[in-house]
Amino acid sequence: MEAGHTLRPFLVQMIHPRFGISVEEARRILSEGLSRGGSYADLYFEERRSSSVVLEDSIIKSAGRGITTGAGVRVLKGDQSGYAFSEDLTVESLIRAARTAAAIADANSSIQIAPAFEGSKRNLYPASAESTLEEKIKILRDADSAARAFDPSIEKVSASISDEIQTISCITSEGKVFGDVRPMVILRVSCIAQKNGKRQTGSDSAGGRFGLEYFSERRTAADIAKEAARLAVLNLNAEDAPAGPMEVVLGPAESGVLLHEAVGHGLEADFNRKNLSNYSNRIGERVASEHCTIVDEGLFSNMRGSINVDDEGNEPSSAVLIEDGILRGYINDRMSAEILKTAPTGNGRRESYRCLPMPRMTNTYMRPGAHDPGEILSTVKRGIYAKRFGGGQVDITKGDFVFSVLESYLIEDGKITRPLKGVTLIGNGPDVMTKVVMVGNDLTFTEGGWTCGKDGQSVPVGMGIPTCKVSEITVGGSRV
Amino acid sequence: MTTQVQDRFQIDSLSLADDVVREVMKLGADACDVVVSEGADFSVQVRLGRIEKLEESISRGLGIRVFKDGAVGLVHTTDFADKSIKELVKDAIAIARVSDRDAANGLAPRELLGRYAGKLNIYDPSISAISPARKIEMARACEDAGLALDPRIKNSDGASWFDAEGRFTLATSDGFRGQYAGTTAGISASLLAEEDGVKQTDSWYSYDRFVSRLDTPEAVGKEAARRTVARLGSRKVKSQTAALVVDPLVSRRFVSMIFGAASGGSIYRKSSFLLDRLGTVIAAPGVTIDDDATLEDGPASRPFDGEGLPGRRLRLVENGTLGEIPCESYFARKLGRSPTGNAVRGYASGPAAGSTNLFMQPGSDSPSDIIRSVKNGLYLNSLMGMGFNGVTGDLSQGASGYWIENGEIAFPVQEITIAGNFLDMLAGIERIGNDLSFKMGSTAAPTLLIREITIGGS
Repeated sequence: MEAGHTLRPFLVQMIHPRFGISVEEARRILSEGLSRGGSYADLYFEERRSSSVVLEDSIIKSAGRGITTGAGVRVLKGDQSGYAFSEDLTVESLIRAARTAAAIADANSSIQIAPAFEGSKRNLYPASAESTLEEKIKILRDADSAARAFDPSIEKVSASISDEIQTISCITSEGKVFGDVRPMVILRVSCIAQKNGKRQTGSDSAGGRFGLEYFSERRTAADIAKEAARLAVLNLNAEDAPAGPMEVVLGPAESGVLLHEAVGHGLEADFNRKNLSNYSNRIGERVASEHCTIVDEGLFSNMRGSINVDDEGNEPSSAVLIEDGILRGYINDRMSAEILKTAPTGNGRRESYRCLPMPRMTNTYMRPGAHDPGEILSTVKRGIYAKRFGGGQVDITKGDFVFSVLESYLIEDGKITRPLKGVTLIGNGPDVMTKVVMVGNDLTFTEGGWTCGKDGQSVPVGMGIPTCKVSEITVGGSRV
Repeated sequence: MTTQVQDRFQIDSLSLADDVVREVMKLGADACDVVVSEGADFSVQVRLGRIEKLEESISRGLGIRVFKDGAVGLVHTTDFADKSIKELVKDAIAIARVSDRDAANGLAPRELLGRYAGKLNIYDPSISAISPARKIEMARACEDAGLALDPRIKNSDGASWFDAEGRFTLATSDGFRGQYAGTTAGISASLLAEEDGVKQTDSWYSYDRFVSRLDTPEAVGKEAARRTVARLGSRKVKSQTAALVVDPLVSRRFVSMIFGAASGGSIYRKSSFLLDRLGTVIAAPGVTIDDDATLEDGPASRPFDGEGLPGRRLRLVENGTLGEIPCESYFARKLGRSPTGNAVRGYASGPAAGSTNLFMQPGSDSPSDIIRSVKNGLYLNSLMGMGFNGVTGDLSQGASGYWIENGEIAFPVQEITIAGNFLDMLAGIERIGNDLSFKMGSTAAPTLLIREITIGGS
């Protein structure tokens, strides 16, 4: 895998040819954007080709395909943004969009558009062979039969496979021309199990920036389906969880949602430069126990949150957010890095050409510690072991966050015993992070279809964590 | 810019949809429908008196659903060039061949097609006449009023104005052709209060199809500030079971959960806690819930749905009894029922049952009487997270609000959970407020009193 980091400038003539706009035309559009005194402008083209096939009741219920194409013009003046987009990719329409975006500024001065240059690129997700609908149907049928064969209580199975190729191309008023071709595939399986009139559900999803080879090389459809079925069957026998503060052991991989909610969002630099986060102005302070080193890194091959370049042309990095419990840095986009006088971390991401970029997480994880997972469990007299998760939410100002557990067990005398019903865990970010008392040696990344929502924009993310023990967190069970 | 909606989008999308239907049929489809969805959006966000973001765009998308030999295919694009649409049409036929025959597939029953003929006030022509400068001024006034209300308001996450015009066009090979446009506008503020080094945020908004019905910017800003300051001093309470008063901000979510669980897809997939409950009691006797697309001034009123069925009123729950299964045609056929005119449709997806103006009928108690009737309980005005199991109805979510002691609001609470089975909660509704309002959106419910809930705290 190539990993060239340096920008080797060379003049380019064309934005990605599929958008039909030459660099010269793009520079004219950018000039229009800066004609009212803006200090920076970029023109972002995107095409997304997506496809999905849905199976239900063991038949292929529907198949679909789509193309969305558009371009957005952004004009910045300090911390002010003007934005307009168009799905009509003619020079006239884009000039109109540029004029709309230009209105954020109100002066007459205009900046010269720099000559266009392009950097060499790494490729974290080499394009895979074109996939056929027949291959997708086979994957869905494999999933269906594996789930049904798992247990006689499995009553309903549905599965869907979605893949897309997002092609972006962008030129900035500073002359940077960059692009990326980002594949993504995801298989989702969901099952209903029924026994003695009781029903339960289980689901699983897996994929990443791969083509269909994911399901032969990494995790088979049958495997993913069996996991969905296992959860549905397990939940049939789950008991009501207790309510109140408890010791909690978080299993590896998906518990990374803790980092995403309790730490990650609060460290996005837009909130911090505006003094809205409970982590604002706290760089250098202790915000977690000494066992915690937390990193956001967009550089892992094929991972769901990975990007070769962010949506503003900055290289993703391995950004250490918290080191041995001390807050080291924020997740930056271009604007916040400029205001906070620091380097961009390559986290400027946008959902699509319809949106302004913002500081967003890529793949967020905690570095492993020294403990064996079994050893961690053995230290808990009575607590909860949380293994699979549904999602979470955070209030970044006060730091309160929740995450919902889909698979958890009671721990009694150091042993995992009975399964518990789905339950919400609630805590305060900096408070809970100081209660991380043991960190395991088993760092694992989830390959589930995690999507992060912020300000109405969704982007794919990854996360990872080793087994961790939190000395106290409030469990939202129904037994007092 | 004129006030005529057609001019704003510059495309005759109804003719375009007609043309595409004809093309698809010519290529050998058995049936098809074409959706065009267009939007014109403006938004501005002001923070601490300065413009932070200004966005304005016109967007569009076209979707084709094609039926061939009992199978279905869906394609969509945002590229309206002739050549691209021609390719899309070919693709649509090809992709329909991939899926399996399913007798439930097909357009809505022809004899049910139509358009609600009554009056609907869904388009405000005055919105496009408001200048950007005036919109910015309103966002500023909103934030200023909030910042000025209380010295403990120390910061702002901004105040915003937005307006949007949407146009929906549907043409089917059965001859339905329809188009309608609607507007929305809104104003919101999100503020931060600080006391003793502890920060709290909250926000408020007003939103309507008509600008003249919006709350004033100042009123919105002040309400955001009032709510933010009221959160100062929040603390946890002990784990316990207690009475629950549900603010309309949360009770509206409850109504939405009932709608989702009662919908044809959830029932057919057996993924619903309301499975086999049609015609049975699912809530306390006073609970009546309607979904009504024909409210004259309703924020989600519309003349026809995403399959060309007329807007209508559906009584989802009558006096605690589940009365109807909201269905699009596909699941209606699967369940041997009739479609209810609830199909929601975007250009990128097929029809799926969704709500229009969905609301719980108000009761007779004032919210303050409801609070006064509680000796010890939680006033819930915010839920966090996704902890709801739609198959079993088990609920466990993060919660915040106020603690009620002896009929009075005593102090704000945060970082607690509520948990229980949703059906038990619905059965435990003891009082229903008289404060139904669509100001928070098209899904609405009054203040509720629920007998008992489990609280997870310290």
